Amino acid sequence: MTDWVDVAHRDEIAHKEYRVVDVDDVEVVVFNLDGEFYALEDVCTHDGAELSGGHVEDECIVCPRHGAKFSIRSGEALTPPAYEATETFPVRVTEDGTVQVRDPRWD
Amino acid sequence: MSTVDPIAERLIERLGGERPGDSVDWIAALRSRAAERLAALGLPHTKIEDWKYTSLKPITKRDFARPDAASATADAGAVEALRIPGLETHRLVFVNGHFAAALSDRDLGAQGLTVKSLAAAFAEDPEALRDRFAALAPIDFSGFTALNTAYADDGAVIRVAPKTQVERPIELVFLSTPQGQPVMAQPRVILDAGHHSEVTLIEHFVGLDDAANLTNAVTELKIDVGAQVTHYRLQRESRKGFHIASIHAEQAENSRYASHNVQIGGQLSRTDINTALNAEGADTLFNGIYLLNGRQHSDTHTRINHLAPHTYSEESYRGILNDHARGVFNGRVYVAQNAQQIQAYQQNDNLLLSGRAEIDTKPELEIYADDVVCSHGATIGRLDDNMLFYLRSRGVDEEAARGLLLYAFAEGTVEKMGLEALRTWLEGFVIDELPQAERVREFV
Repeated sequence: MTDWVDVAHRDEIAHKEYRVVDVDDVEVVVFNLDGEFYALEDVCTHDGAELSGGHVEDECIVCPRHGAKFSIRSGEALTPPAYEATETFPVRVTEDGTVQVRDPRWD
Repeated sequence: MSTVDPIAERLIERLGGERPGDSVDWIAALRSRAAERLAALGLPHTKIEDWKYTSLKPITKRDFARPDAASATADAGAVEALRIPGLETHRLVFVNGHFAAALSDRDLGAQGLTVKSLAAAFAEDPEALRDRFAALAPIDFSGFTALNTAYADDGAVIRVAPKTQVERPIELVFLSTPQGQPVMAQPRVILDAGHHSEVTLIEHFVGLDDAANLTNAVTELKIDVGAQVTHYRLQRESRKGFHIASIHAEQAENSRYASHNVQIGGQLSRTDINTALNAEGADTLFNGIYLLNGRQHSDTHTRINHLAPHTYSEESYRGILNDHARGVFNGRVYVAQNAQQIQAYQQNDNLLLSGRAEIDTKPELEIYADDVVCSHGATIGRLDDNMLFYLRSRGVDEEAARGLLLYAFAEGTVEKMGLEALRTWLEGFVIDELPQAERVREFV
C-alpha cells in the first residue's frame, strides 16, 4: 500500500488555491474548496500536459492551454476540448492539520 | 551565446570525471564536444514532437550517480541463471555499465571474430575506433546520445571479419543492480560486420533486486556488403528501473538487418531504432513486442530510411497493455527521391486489456520517390468476442480462452525469431506476463 504524502498545512492552501505534489512519480494537484480538500492528477486529458498553472473558476480548474474545465470534486471533464475525466485521489487532513494525499491505484 | 540547460548542467556535474580513452586526444575532444552538445540540448521534453507522449519527469527529478566500477559485480549464481537454456553464446556481462570480466566467458574470440570491452579497445587500439565511435550515432540525435558519448564507462566492440559466419551468438548481458543510490549505466556497443559475414547479437538488459537505476544505452551497427546481422534486444529492467536506448544501423548493398525487440520491463522506457538502407538490395526486418501492465510506460520510435533504389523493409510491432500501462509506437519510413522501386511494409497492432490502458500509435511515411510500394496499418482493440465464443464453444473456459488468444497474439512476433532456443525461452516469459499465465501453461 502506498504511503500518504504530505502536501502542506491546511492553512497554507487558501480557498480556491492549490498545491502540486509528487506522489510516487505522479504529479497531483491538491485544491482547497471552502475548507474541503480534493486532489486531481496534474494532467489535462485533452493533450496530456499539466493542469497546474490554470485558474480555479467556480468549482472547476481551467486548463491553462485550451480552456478545458474539470470538476475539482469529481475530476469530470465539463467542457471541450477534454472529454475524459482526469484521475482523482483520496485526501485527508491529519489531527495537526497536515493535508495528505495518496495514490491507491497500485495497492 | 549558448545557454546551458539546467538539467544537463546537473548531470554534467554529477557524472563528470575520468573515462576510458581520455588520454587519447581525439576521444577526449569528442567526449568534450558531446558534453557541450548535451549542455546545449538538455534532455528531451514533451514539447519536442518526438517526445510528445513520453514525459521524462520521473528521470529528470532523480539525481542518478555515476556507477562505481569497483562494485561491478553480481552473484555468479544469479548471473548463471540468466543463461538462455540450450543456447551456446559468446557472453559478456556488464554490471551497471562496467564490464565484469569474472562473470563473462573467457574465450571471447573465434575465427574471424573479435570481441572486446570498450575500455580494452580504447586502451589497445584507439585508432581503430576513430572513424567508428559516434560515427553512426551522432551526438545531435538527442541529449541521451550526447550523454552516452560523453560519459560511457564501458561497452563492447565487436568485429566480424569479411566472409565469416559466427556460429554462436554474441550475448551482452547488462545487469542493473542496486548500489546504495540510483545510478546511470551508459553502455556503448559498436559492431562491424564485414562484407558477406553473418552474426547474431543478443543485448539482454536485466534489472535485479528492484534496481531503480537508469540505463542509457547506445548501439552502433555497421553492416557491410552482403552481411547479415540479426539483433535481439530483450529489455527486462526492474519495474522500478528506467531504460533509454538508441540503435543506429547503416546498411550497405545486399545487406540484411533483422531487429527483434522485446520490451517487458522498466517503469519508463524509450527505444529508438534507426536504420539507413544505403545501397541497392539492402533489406530490413523490424519485429517487436511490448507487454506492459501496472503503470509501465514504454515508447518505441523506429526510423527506416530508404536511401537507395530496390531496397526492402518490413516492420511489425505488437503490444499488449493492461492496467494503467501506456505504450507509444511511432514508425517512420523515409523514402528518398532516388529510392525508386523500394518496398516498405509496416504494421502495428495493439490489444488493450483495460479501460485505463493507453496506446498512442503513429505511422509516418515520408515518400519522395514515385514508383514505390509502401503500406502501413495500425490497430487498437480488445479481444475479439467471436474468437472467444469459438474457443468457449469448444469447451475452453473463458479465462483460459482469453489467455490463449493473448498468447497467440504475442506468438505472431515471437515466431519470427530464428533462434529456436531463445524463442522457447522467450515464450515462457511472454506467458508469465499474461494475466492468465497459469491457465495458458495448461495448454501450451
